[in-house]
Amino acid sequence: MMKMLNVIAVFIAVIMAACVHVNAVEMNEKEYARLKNRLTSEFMQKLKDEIKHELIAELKSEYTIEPKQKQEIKQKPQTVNLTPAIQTQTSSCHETYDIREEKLTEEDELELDTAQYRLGEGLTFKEQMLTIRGFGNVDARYMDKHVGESINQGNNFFSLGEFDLFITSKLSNRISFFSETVFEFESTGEVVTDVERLLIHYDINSLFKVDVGKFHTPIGYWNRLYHHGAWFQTTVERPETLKFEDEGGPLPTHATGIQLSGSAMFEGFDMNYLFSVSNGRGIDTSHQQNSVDLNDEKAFCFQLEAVPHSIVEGLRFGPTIYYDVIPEDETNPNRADEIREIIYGGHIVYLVRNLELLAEAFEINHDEFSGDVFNTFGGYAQCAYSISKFKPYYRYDYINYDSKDPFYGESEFDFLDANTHTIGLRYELSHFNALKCEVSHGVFDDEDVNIIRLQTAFSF
Amino acid sequence: MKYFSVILIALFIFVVAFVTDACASVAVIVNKSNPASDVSYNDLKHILEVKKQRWDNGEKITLVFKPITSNETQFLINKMYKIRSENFYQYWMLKSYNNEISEYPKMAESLSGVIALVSKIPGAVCFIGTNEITQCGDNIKVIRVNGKMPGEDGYPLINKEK
Repeated sequence: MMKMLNVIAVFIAVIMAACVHVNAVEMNEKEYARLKNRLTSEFMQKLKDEIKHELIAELKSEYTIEPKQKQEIKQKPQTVNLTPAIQTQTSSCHETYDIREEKLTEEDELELDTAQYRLGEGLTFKEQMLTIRGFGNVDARYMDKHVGESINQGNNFFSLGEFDLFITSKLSNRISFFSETVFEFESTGEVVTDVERLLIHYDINSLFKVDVGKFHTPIGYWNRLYHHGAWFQTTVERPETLKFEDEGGPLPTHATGIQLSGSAMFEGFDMNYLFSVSNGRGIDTSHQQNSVDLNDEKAFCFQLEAVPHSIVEGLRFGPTIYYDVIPEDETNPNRADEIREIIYGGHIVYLVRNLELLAEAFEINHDEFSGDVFNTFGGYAQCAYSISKFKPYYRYDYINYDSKDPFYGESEFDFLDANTHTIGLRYELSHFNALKCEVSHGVFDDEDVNIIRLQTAFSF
Repeated sequence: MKYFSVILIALFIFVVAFVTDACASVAVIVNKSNPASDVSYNDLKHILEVKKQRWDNGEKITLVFKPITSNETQFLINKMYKIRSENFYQYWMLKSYNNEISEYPKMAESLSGVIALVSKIPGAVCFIGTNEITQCGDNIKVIRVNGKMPGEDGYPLINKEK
């Protein structure tokens, strides 16, 4: 009996010991897990901080003249009796800060440090100064007669214009990225996505800036200033001469390559220059050579602009010259030769307060190397005057194609001579929405056409 | 006689206030770490038009504006930019759209906001009223324009329409 009791006692003791051991193991596992988690999170935090600091240092040092004085100042913590209540109002294009006077806590200081980059530095990878904006327009149109390729369209219709997404990002003090992607609504019902501009910008100094990528050819004033957002331009349409390639425009408005630009600032006047080297045109007017060049010839464009602000404030003018060799089209016997293209242009612009005067002219020379030279001449003159939220405007458009020019003659578009007068009214419904109404009377290849256009153009 | 004196004093105060206010100067303030102590009117115009985007030491210039309704910002819009104040936002959007700027200027809601921004950003420059200089604190300094301080004869930034 005693023996039996001893066995039971030993058995119970063994079970108890096992239970204690299991608990201990469980506890150890929990503690171990907790410890592991803590160490991992501490390690990750440390690693993150190190990477962050390294990246910030790298970004700041990259292409940056960092004055020693500034670095010293940055090292010293600045005591500012302000709260971090820094709010960015996206409703306006400016960053608006609401900074109230209060004492800072330790956490607030940390937040203010983070916000400091937003205030002026903009270099942390977390807040890389990425801006996304958009533009769009919806049009309505009435035409009393159709000419050219629009012959199968109705006389009046609503039309989605362009939906334009515009993204910029500041990569470092002197490097920024810039892109403009447009969704275009074709008459066939298709939606075409078109990268209209995509470039990286190096801001070396005011005399020397470099853009690499796809940009608007620095040809004339309108093409340099107004791009795809119809909201910016006073009128509903671009001038006939400056229509985009895929809308039947005669000029190479886009280019892929490298562009140098800068301003020399003197006492009383400035000189701006733009110079680009690009792939140039493809085999037809709408063919943009974004990824390859069909021939080894490159297109060169040079524009010079004088801004004599001490003599006439708001005046700017200058010439443009463009040179390219257009590749031959092997599928088209009329385009069996390469074409040398030289474009001469000039602009004169006067913009002061309420008044807007723009005038540009271009001569496009096409030479087939066989002695045949074809000349096309086009231009426009536009004036507008703002009265409160209203802006009445007038534009005269003129373009005269050389009917024998094989480059335009063998294109998918109908390049019609145009001679049009447009009067219109723009009304600023808000800071970011404009309503436009215009009436055009034009002669397109000896056919009189009247057009009424309505547009609501906006930015968001 | 008593009423006449009161009217005279009131008239005197009005005239003094009008005359002093009518020709108020606009002071240019920068961060104290900025080595620039004098800027030409021409350079100032280029700074405002962001043609000049860096100080001589290479520091990026950050424009800070008081609210658009303030006298100083209105003065800049009318006299320096020569545009309509309704087009001020559009002006900057167009600059961004043309890739002339990679970030927009700062617009503070109040004087304290301006002071905070200019104190914190080494390359900041802002335009304030001369009567506001005393509130700026130690981290901000006023710089000369064409060698003149606000209030001196020949100082070019005079807001006559104030």
